[in-house]
Amino acid sequence: MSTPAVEVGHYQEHHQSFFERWFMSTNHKDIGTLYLCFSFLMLFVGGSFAMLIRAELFEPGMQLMQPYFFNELTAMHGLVMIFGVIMPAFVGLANWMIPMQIGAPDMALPRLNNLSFWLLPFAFILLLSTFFMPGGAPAAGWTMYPPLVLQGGESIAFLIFSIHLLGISSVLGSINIIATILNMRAPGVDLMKMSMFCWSWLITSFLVIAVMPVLSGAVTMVLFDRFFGTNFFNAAAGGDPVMYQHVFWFFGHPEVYIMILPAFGIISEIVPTFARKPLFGYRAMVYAIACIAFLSFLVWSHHMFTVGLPLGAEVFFMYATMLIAVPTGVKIFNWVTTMWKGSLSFETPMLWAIGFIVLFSIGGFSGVMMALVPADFQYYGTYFIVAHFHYVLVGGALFSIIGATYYWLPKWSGHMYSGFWSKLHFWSSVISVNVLFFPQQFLGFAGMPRRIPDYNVAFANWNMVSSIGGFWFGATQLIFVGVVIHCVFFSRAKASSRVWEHAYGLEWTLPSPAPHHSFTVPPVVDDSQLVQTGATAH
Amino acid sequence: MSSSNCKRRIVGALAALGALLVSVAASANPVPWQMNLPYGVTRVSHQIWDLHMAALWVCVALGILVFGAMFIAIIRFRRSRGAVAETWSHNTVLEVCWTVVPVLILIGLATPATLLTREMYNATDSQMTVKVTGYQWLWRYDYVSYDGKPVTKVPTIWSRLAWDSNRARQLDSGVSPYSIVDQKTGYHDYLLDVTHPLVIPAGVKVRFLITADDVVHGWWVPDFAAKRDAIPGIMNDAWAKVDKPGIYRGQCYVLCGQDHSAMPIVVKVLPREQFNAWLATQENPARLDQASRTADAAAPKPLPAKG
Amino acid sequence: MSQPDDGQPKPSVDEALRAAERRKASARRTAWIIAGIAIAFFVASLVHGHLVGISNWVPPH
Repeated sequence: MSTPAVEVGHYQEHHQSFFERWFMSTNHKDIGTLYLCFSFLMLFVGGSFAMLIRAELFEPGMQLMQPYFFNELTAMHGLVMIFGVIMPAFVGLANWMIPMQIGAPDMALPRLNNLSFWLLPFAFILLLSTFFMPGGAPAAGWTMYPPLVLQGGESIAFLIFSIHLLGISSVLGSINIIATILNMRAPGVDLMKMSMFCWSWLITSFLVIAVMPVLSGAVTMVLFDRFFGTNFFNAAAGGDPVMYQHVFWFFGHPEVYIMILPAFGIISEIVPTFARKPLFGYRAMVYAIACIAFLSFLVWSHHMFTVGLPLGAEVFFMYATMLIAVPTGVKIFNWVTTMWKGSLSFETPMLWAIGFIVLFSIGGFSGVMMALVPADFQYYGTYFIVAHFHYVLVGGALFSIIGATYYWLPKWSGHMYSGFWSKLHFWSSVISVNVLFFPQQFLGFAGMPRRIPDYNVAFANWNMVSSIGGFWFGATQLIFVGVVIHCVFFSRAKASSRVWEHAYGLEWTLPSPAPHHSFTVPPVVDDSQLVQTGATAH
Repeated sequence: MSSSNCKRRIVGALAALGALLVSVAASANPVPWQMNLPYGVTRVSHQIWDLHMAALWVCVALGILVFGAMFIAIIRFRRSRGAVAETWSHNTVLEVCWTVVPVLILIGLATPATLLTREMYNATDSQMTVKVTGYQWLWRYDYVSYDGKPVTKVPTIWSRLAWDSNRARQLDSGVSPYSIVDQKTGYHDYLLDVTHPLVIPAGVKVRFLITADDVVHGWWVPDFAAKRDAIPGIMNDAWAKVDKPGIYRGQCYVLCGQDHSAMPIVVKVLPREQFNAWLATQENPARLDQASRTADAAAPKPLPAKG
Repeated sequence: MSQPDDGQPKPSVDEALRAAERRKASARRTAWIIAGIAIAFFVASLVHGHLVGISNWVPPH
């Protein structure tokens, strides 16, 4: 094996100190690990906010906190979960898997990669420090609507600066992903032979590039209104509060897909592996993702159906929104058809993938209902909305991240995890998440507004059920911590290089644990190693 | 368990759920264990309810189809039962079908939704106009016109959370929310009762002009299906023609600060003659003058000593 | 196996180095272009806000 080519790209393996390895790293795997650990930590920070919220909502009446602190919690819960958990976790997975799946030695721009990670901890230190400031943390919801957000204290400056940092971080991360996928593919890894995970991230990156700067623009205007005397959103001086909502949701809706498209990619990897059958309609899956991404720019006002848009706009945004159901439906049908006449086995990642399909579909169904303008008038601002986006973000995005962890963890660590505990984690999560969020749909129908710390006694029963589900779901995630720590540090069960018997893709050609540097020379790629797209299936 | 047995159970469970959904639909104000939208008391709210149920059943049907197919696959094509994977990955007919059929279903839903949206946007021919202004954290109602005539002598209604609810909602108040009861109806109106409700006549198309003074609020009475954001600097409009007299309750639905949960909306709908009589008693220049001088016409009486 | 030894001709040292350099340069170009797009979106959102604001702007007194 000691051909000259092997020597060429071979980095000298030198011993790195702990500080060098984890703080100065330019290695895609180490940075991926940092991202994943960070988002794991933030999951418990954001989760503890959720536990406090559900504790206050356990019964009618105020028992634990002042209403303003409750508003701080809801705002920070949203910001932490979106920018601190879901997005970094997907970027972490991208860091780990994209170079391995396309046969590259590393990300295209390794030092940029280091920067985009290290912006995150500082951004969140700034954001979370606002809890300890006079006036408290931002309390205007994660959507930060003016004029309400302008009533906040000095913490608004910290909020906006941290959002700028988060925006820069995710834009740099996406630049890196695009540059990597477009330039670093090994010969033979054509775009239309690429894994679905890489495809989903390529498209997601373009969404990030287009919309994160728009969020930065929106909050910059808030910053100027709050501190420098401009009147972008001040109606008394001719500004327009609704303009903020337009700009924000132009970011906000593609953001929703930033948090779900990589999940689609992950599910499209897991399902064929455990169905032992090529993904049904690979091309259709790629086009569906592209189509969803494109449409996501044309539907932002469905978050604003009640702000008093003209009739024509309401109807246009209703049609565009309903249209998104079509490619999304295609994806779900394709996953189910991939399972049809396969040879299914139900290892832990497959359980999470099936859980994803069911829960995401439930969230999708409620999405179709609220696309209908007249119906949305009765849903808007209620717990039905809360239930909807938690079904797609917890049952969808978070389930796919956990599924991906269970899918690739043996490849990362070189060890197998406990089948029993990981399956217990799944069953406990999938039941409790429904106890948690299904009743919230009833509360929404009954008219309970979202973001309230206290409610009429008529809403008491379902809130109590929901809170019990919430505590149960929260506690269940401790199993996850145990399984991962056990697997990484204590498990004796060695993982084979392929790990799952029908797993395809270049990452499975590397040994487990994957070596520090992936493909120091481009591998000679044989189509049978790649994800089976159907084109190569016999 | 055999697959047909499993299917029967699922269908049975869904039918039971459906029955429950329909049975609780007719209530006016929120009730414990409520699971569905209120049917409401306006034509628009009835139509919305029908559209909502149609969409819901379409979703349930699609859910049964998709999840059913998936569970059949899970049961029949298990490797542990010796299933051997096939290798096909395309089927053009199938793929065209599940692209076209959803489009047709969506057109089926979008058509009535479009017509209904048009109707909801049509506030012409309203016989009464009320201006609604949101404040942190109360509502202000001004009668603008009625029966083609401007209303000038009726004082502004300041509508804020009822004092008993306000006392009970304080942290560690020691007052149970369950003890807050409407004396006449026995309804538990904690956080859903106000000092002075808006009063409107039954059978009259009322147009609400909705705005706000400080931050964005939201004015919504679920039973009317009348709902618009109240935004500073912008005048939105909604309308309702309520046929059934009664007391209807709603809440602010846009986060508006610390007491967002404490600015309910209560609308009292009176039969037309009673309303006219009520309006006549309100037309009182002296009271109007007083009300305009003290904005908090609804000032609290001293609270009874705690204990 | 990252490097199946299937008897295909191996690229020479220089050639492999040059290919890696080319890819790096190309990746850097891509990155700058994408960064330009991102900055354009940021500026566009501010300009949008500015224009919408200007059209009803009332000088504060």
